[in-house]
Amino acid sequence: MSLRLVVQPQYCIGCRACEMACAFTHGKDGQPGAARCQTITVGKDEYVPVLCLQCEHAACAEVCPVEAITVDPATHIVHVDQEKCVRCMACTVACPFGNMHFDRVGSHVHKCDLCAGHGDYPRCAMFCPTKCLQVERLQPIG
Amino acid sequence: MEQTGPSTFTMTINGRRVQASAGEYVLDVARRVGIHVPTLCDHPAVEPFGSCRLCMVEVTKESWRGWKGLMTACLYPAAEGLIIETDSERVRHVRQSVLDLLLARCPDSELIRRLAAEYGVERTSFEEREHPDLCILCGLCTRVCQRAATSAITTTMRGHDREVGTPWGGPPPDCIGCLACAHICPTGHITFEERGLTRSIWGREFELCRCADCGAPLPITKDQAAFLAERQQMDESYFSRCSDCQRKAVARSMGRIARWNKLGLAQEPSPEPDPRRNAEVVR
Repeated sequence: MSLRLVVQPQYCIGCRACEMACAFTHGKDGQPGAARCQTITVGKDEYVPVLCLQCEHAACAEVCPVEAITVDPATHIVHVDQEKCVRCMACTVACPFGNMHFDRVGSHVHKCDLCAGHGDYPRCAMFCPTKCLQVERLQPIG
Repeated sequence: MEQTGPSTFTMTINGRRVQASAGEYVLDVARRVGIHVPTLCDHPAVEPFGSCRLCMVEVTKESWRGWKGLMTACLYPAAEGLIIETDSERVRHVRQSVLDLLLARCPDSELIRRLAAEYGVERTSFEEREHPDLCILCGLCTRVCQRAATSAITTTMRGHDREVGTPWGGPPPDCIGCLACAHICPTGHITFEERGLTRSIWGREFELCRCADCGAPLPITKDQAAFLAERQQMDESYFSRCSDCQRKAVARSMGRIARWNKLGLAQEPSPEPDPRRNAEVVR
């Protein structure tokens, strides 16, 4: 069973609950800057939460010179192996959607992993008040 | 030597029977079962090298009739029936000697001092180097450069004069300024500087890429972008924008879709199957 995060920006009210939920899930301090989910204002009362798309052929994984970024074959989640990462920062630039973040405080790159290892259920969707972020469970056909 | 028989087998570490498989090293097996073995020159991004000698463990087999060898765990292949001791008196003694020597080489290194203190070595019993630096010659920087970049640096000279350096001591012509060596260095010997659009390391200056939209400096150098584009066979346009601008561009196009959806086209997520995963939505 794997998960798919569906984003419907027409429902986003810009409350940034997803950012806070993400920041508190992945760090004790709850720094919104450290969140893997960023809500961007694109017009008057128009907001879009931007998260990792878990690409099948991910540019971040392809550019990584030490293969520290891999796509999990079972869940299709793109993971960063923090132990293996050599902090060359190539992935933060290569992601065409800007979803690889660099944490200056902890000096490491991080990205949305659909909360794998943190309850295995995206916390942002759990806290989204308008169902702009929704989770779908997928199960192999047959 | 060709290994025959089953690919998984049992061995003993500190009296615990553990499963291991062919191709693993003793250090991998110990880490996997949660037994701590100190290391300095080990990193998952590069192949084991065995230069720091800190991961020494005692190895024996029942058929060896009491003979016990001291081996580097990072380079000793796991095998059927091995009996490993990772914290015996003999192991602790040899690690003490290693740290004693490292402390004579790098008396100013925080990391070496802390590790040495853990093994009860407060001061080196040897003579300290006259002009000590922080390099322990673990070779992590040269190995990561070989793996991730261009082999721009290597160890030069021999014996007492051996050090990590560049060809003929000058600015390295092949370096791409990716900083992997500086970030992987366990003692912080390799330093770099970044000022505006310039990054300097190994006595050479590199120009950083600029974001095509906002003009802010990107965290990669121009040489690095050209190298990655060629080696990983990616278009250079992948290295032209900062992540903030890319996120904004994505948000703008998704915002357009949202606007159409608001004009009466809004739909609940449809339970469409996902062809690329060959999976369907469960309700």
